[in-house]
Amino acid sequence: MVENYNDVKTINTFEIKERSYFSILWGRFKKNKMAVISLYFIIFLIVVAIVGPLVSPYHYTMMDYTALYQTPNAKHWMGTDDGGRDLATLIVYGLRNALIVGFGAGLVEVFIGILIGAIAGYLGGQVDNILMRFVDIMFALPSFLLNLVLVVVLGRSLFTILLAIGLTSWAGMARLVRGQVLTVKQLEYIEAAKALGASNLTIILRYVIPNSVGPIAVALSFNIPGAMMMESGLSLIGLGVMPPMPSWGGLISQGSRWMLSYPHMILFPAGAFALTILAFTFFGDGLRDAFDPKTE
Amino acid sequence: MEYLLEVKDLKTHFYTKKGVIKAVNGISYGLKRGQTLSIVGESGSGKSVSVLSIMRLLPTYAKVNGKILFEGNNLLSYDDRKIKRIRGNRISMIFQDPMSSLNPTVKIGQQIMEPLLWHHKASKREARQKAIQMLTEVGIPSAKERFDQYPFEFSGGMRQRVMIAMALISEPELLIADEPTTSLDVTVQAQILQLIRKIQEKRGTSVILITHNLAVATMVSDYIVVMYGGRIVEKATTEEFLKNPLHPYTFGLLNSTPVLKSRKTLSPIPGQPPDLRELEDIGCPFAKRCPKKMPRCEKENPPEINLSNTHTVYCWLYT
Amino acid sequence: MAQNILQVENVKKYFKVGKKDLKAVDGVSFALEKHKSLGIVGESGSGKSTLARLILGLIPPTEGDVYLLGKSIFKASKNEVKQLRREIQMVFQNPYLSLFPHMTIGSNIEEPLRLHNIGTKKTRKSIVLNLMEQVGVPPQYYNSFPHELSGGQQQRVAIARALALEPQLIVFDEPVSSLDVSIQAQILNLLLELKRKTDLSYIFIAHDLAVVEYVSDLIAVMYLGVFVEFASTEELLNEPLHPYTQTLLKSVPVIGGEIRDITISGEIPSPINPPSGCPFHPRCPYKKEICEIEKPILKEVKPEHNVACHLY
Repeated sequence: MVENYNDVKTINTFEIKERSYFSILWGRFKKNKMAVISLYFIIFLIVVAIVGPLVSPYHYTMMDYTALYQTPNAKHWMGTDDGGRDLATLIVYGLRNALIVGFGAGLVEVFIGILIGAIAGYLGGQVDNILMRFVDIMFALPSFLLNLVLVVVLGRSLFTILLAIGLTSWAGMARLVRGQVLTVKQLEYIEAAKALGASNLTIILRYVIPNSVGPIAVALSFNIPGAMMMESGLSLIGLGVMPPMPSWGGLISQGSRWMLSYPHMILFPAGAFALTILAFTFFGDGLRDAFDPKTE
Repeated sequence: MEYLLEVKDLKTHFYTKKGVIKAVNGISYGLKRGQTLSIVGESGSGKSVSVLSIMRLLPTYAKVNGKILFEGNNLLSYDDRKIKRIRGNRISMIFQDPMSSLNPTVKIGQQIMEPLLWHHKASKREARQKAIQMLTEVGIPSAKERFDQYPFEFSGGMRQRVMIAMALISEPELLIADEPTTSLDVTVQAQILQLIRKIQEKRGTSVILITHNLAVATMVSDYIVVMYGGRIVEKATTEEFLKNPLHPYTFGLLNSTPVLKSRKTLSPIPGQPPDLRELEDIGCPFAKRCPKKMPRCEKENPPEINLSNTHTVYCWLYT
Repeated sequence: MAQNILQVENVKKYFKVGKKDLKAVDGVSFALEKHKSLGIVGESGSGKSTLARLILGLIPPTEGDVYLLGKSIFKASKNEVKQLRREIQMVFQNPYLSLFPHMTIGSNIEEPLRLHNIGTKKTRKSIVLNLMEQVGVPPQYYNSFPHELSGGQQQRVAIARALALEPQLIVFDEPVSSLDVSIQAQILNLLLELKRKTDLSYIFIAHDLAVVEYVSDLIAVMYLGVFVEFASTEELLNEPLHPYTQTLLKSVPVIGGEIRDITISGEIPSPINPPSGCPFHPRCPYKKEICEIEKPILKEVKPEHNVACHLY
């Protein structure tokens, strides 16, 4: 009998290149140029949000009645607003708040979503039924209205706003997580793991979770800008973070009043806002590609 | 006219982001009226793409070159409207998975009638009558009642019979069957093959059968085309093919197929199936796995060796 | 009984479908001696994959028991089960779906060793590389991911993973049906070689009789959740007794053969509404009155040749 072991003999030079799962993910992510640019931009935004307030010579409470409605110049890079406050500084503080609300709400959402989704998906049966009906109800309620109510009840601080947004937006995440757990649970490799002798806990930790992270991370990267928009929406109608603390929604709503005479007052905050939202969306796209093994 | 269908130097290339995939790379064969031709090959051989090219059922990034002569007319020169008049009317096709090829929300009878109605071949009443007759012919009991049932009420074998009825109702000259029995159990497979042959004998339809199963091919067809890596490596009448297989790949296939009660030892073909992205224009596509490889095999295209009017092998061994 | 590596005693598995029972496996008993290979042939819906999962102890039986090396895998303690797990492994139909997608080939094969705390990181790596050589996966794939390999290579990896714990018995569930013919033959030869070189026993489940014949010492024919015939490979092929086995033999396509008239019509009935009496009687050309009423039991009609049919 001829043993035909493929090309074992023909290839004699081989090096074992160490590759981790993350290096593979990064390799796929890299292929999406917009996503990589967006990632760097998001990192840049985070750095600006942290460092900006420290180095800025201005503060968001500093009014300067000698410098009202200034267009961009050397002293005020993005000009000033109707109170003579430095627009760039306002935007940086707004950015900080937006990021806190975005990531904070995202965290709340992921925590509740994973908890409820995983319990429902893993236990199934009656528990699943009850939890998912609750999720359906959360879905059916208009989240903006619910947010209004919560903000009114909890008060108007940065923390309560992100909490309110998180509390009203986890339903989608819970559904997604449940779906993931249900899918992964019945995959053949989970059965294979059982056959190999893995315990239930090992199965969840080693196989179910690593293979569910992808879609959750992708959903999160799309929900963070969603939370930012929600916060701006609240600010627009005057229920966002308490003035004088700046928020992008507030800046845009203020700028819109002077749009025709001083367009820079709306262009800069709106532009920064749009770019940030876009960056997160492109980053999410890249993440989705990265977690899809078919992207090679 | 001798040939119903003549394929000449057919090339189907897919232009993807990651480069050109040469799924079909210059194949030629002819099918005579009333005959069955089998195209045998493994995954990546291009066998399915080659017939989808005939039906023009390919995505827009596929470029098809060469000639497909159907009754002497080049189908590749036809515009969309003209090809639609041929498709499902004079050339019909059945697929591997009968469930996903049937519309789950439309009654079986309705679906069978559709080709007739689309091509304005019959009134609704005539079509209905014909559909019931067709269902009976493909061996569906109590066809009248089953006419009003939905696909999910049919078993796998029955669905494939429905597909056949649908393909044949417009009395096409050519039936293309792409792995029609692969998803079916053996006892059902035998029934379906029997049915295809019976209908062919009765109606004189020509058939192209795409299959990975050499045994099935030799059992039902008059002519066999073996494809590998987008090209034909050998083509012959079934008789010649069985008596005198020549290409090393054909040998490999024969030696890899277990035969019941033969007690033969299998000698597999070494290596892995070809990677479509790595198919080259130059050289024999099988060279990488060929036990009789010579230096020229990778550098020059294999010559066309005609052993008879009907038996051709593409291999340097026989120069 | 000591030399029996596996003893299956009247196992049944019913699944609830709405208010009805789907009788996937409806009473199967057999024993497998050490270093033997058993092929189980059946069409889709015959319950062969469910039987495989029962033998592995992956799903609990509705009735009956499975003894591995004399110990019940359903009644053993947690620790005993973990020990028994090392003796029996499974290879699935679709290697791509059964390998861990987020782990490299090396980690996939190493996983069973890690789960059972065998060896150090270093020794495990050399075990893995040895296994890869044994099944014919080139070592440069050590750090590749499953999706980067062809189907045949993936199945070799799955076999290496199953071999890692040096089990005494491996259950192969349709291991070659998703592979090309030329690759299928490579895997079949690999199994024969493993059996020759080691004292492995295996159960090979497939729908293709010719494939099963090639790798099995014994063959069981399964139909609607029961064994209808069980005999040595030679016996079964040369003298098939059950009408279903006879049809199956006639239906297998043969190179250069003729399409033979199939004496049975129709398809395997749904296991939710199985026929009364003999499960095969609606399709059987030799049906008698008793066949509709009484379910035939598997009995030895000749030495080492068992059949469940009222004709005998």
